[in-house]
Amino acid sequence: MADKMNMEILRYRPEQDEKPWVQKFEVPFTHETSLLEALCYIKDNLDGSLSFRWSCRMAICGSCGMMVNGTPRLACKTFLRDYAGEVMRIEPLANFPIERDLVVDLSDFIEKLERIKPYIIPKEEKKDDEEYLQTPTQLEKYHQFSGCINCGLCYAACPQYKLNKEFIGPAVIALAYRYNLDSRDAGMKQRLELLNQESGVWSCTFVGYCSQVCPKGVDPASAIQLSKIHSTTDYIISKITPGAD
Amino acid sequence: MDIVKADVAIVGAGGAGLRAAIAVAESAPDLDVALISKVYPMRSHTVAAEGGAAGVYRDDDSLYKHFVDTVAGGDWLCEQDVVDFFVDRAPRELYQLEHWGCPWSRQPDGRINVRPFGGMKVPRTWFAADRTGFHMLHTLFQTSIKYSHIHRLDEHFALDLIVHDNQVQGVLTFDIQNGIPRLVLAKSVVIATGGSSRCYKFNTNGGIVTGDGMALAYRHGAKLRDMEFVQYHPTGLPGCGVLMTEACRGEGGVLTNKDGYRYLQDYGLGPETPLGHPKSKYMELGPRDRVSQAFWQEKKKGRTIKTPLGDVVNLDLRHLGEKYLHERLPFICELAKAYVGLDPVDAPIPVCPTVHYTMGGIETDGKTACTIKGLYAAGECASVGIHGANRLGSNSLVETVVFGHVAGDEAAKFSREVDFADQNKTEKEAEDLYAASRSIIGAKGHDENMGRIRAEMGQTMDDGVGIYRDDASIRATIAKLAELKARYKKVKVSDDSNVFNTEWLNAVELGFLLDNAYAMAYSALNRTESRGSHQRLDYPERDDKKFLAHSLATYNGDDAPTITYGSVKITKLKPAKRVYGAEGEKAEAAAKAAAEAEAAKEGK
Amino acid sequence: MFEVTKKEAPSKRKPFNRPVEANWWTRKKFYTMYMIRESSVLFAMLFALELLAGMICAATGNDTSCLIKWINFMASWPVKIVNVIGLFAVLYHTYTWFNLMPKAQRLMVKGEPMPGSFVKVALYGALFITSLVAIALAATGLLSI
Repeated sequence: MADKMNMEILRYRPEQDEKPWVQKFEVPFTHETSLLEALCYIKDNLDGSLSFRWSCRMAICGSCGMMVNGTPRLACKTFLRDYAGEVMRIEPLANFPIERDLVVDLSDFIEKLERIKPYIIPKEEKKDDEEYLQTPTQLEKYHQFSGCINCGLCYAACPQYKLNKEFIGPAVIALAYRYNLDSRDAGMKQRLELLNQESGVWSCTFVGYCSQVCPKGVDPASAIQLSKIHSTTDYIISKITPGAD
Repeated sequence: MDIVKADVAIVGAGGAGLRAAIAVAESAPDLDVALISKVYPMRSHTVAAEGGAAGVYRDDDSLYKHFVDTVAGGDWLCEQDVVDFFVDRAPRELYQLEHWGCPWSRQPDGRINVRPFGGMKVPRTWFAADRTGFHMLHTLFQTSIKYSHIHRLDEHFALDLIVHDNQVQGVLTFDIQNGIPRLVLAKSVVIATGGSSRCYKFNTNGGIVTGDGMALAYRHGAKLRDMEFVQYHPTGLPGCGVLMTEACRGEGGVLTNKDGYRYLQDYGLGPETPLGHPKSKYMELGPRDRVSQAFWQEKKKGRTIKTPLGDVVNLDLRHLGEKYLHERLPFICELAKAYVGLDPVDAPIPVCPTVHYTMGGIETDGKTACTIKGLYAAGECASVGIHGANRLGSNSLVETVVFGHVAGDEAAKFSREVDFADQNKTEKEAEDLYAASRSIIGAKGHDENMGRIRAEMGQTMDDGVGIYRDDASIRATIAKLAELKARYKKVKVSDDSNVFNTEWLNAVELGFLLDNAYAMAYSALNRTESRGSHQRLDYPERDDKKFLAHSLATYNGDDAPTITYGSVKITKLKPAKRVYGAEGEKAEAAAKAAAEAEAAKEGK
Repeated sequence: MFEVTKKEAPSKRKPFNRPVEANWWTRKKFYTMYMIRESSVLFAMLFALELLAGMICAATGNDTSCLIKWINFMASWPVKIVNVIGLFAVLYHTYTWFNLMPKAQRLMVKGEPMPGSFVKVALYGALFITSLVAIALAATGLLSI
């Protein structure tokens, strides 16, 4: 005995449409039905042209970010039972250009991710059969920030990114912070060049919505504020130490 | 048509694909790589792997022990020289990942921590909490950014391979974002597109794991090897099939039936080990095929728990305690809460076997080379010979980096020896292929619903080529698949757009799945024995005389594939009875005594 | 080598940029509360200017006419109402700020990040003590008039 959910989905087909428009669907659902399953149902049975990104179905690949009644969410971890009695309005992830239907252009995010040097710039070289020693406490320092699945929900949440596309954004700063704090890394100075800029950490006014919507508990807002401390310290040191570096 | 030229093209940017790209960039810094992926690399399904990656680490461990576990785990269908190579290379690839920043879990003194895993005598599974695949993939992706010679073609769908005179010349791709085809001319190609578990209805795989590369190589003459060996992971969530890592059992979780009884002891995995003290190769740490088969037997006896989402057993983690669970298995707690509304701290988790991994794949030699010149395959899409009839948990993640590295090196070497194909000729061929692929859109008389074909394929595979099969069930599936292939020829694709036309691409993927499923079913039909994960109710014994051999499926278009057999390389470990639990202990002691006697005789 | 040897097909993309509405912050409670939190700066600025005026008046030495005007100004009802609202605004800002402050530190205690509650307790404690001192100073100041 399935209930029915009324859904309004924002469509946009670049080769046919001038601007986005709303399409209505009625989707049957049970206790377990996720939004992703509902979208797949629509694609298989009601309108095959509806396009959306998805893969893992378990909130680890980061593909299926979208706006659900104005909140950035992962479709695979959003359940229709929580919206029973309402109309579900589904739109593509905010603050990104719409490519097609629920697919957004993430290239700005990807480009910023690459710019931050998100890899180990080692302190010392190690032999092939030897690991860097890293105690559980050292691991714990950065581990939370390494859990980012690159879903983009934090960008959809961030008003600063909405207003200023130069801002490198929460996930990228969290990733930079993750590497800065990794005991094996010595690249903080290089990453600070980007973080110190106006478009780096200093665009952030600590709204904090990014951390609330993050599906993996990464807490990018925290990473940004902590990075502000790095940035400030770096600035002060550069002012009081004589000579260039 | 847009054309791009690169020395090496890699299709698939998961663990194996990224590792191959980095290998080319490091071993051949003057060459360029076109890294083609139909999704952004961090969406690749490597990301969902949880438990860990195996590599000898402890002092009480040895390469030979890892070798023995793997070959026995594979029920002797492994290429032993390749397994030798694999266990030797595994640790250094894992150290390499560590140097690149992978956040492996640690012992208190800062050294790598390893955990026990199914079928492994000594703990050797490196792990990063319970999100090892996620951390490995992100480490590889982020590291790949360092190399300017890796040119990523993100969201490019591989429609076909270009092959002339049995030599690969490039890949016809579709740029999904721009909505245009793009021919990638390359001197060598690595396929790293993952497995084909989506042929089955209940599986742990993501939607993108549709066996693309497998089917493409197959259609161009490469043989698909050992396709009948499909791994059922014993603990997937009912309904969605979301994976509950084997590490749950490695950390001490137990499986109980409706009477609260740890039933695995009835199936050659006993005697029962004390709660919270798992013992390698006993009970819940038995190999995956045995644990899944035990479920099937319990279900037949009516001892599994009936739920609206199907039969399940309980995975009980409560005795591990909240602190330990949140430290070692945080992702599992999150998944259980989200998808079945239960907290492993307070309640047992309902689980059932779910299709997880395809041991079979594109036939390659020990250095990932296919029979098509210039074509290499690594990772789950390949059958390089290490898993045999059943893969041990945590051998697959490390497989991606060991053989991804090899494939990259080999592809780079090959590309130095040949020239690019004639551009005009290849372009014309690519244009024809593209037109043929698009021709299903809006075609007349095409009225078959794609979703229904897909669902029926999944159902028939689960029914006929499941944990236990027999002649009748497989034949029924084959007949059904033949019907589905005929219906697929008239599949309805109405969307005639180009940019992100996922309806068309899903139809192409369905074609790949059907070809792979057909190979799986026919391979299963012809192997009249039981070995590893291929269990025949009508042939319950292992038959080394006839079937100590690999199945090889050759593509015949719409007709049934031809199934032939290839020999298995046995070097150090002669085939023996595959035993675990107490029986395994006895067998090992006997083997050790025999080896010592041999050594004494040789006066060592 | 990596070469784009032929580029003839025009892209079929036409990404759509959704315009930013001026009232974007009314759409979500989280954003609205954020704007209210940020608007407290106006009240804080206002009060600072009032205090500055008072300081300037107090610095005119023996001539107390300015100071008396200032005291009457501050005691007038409109100014009192504005300042009381300002007090609540600043208190709200303090409350939201103290809630966020734990995120700006990552001290490790016994291998785990220090719980946020420690930070909050410390901050409220410091607020309490400095408030007491400020009130005590003001009170003794008043008594000495």
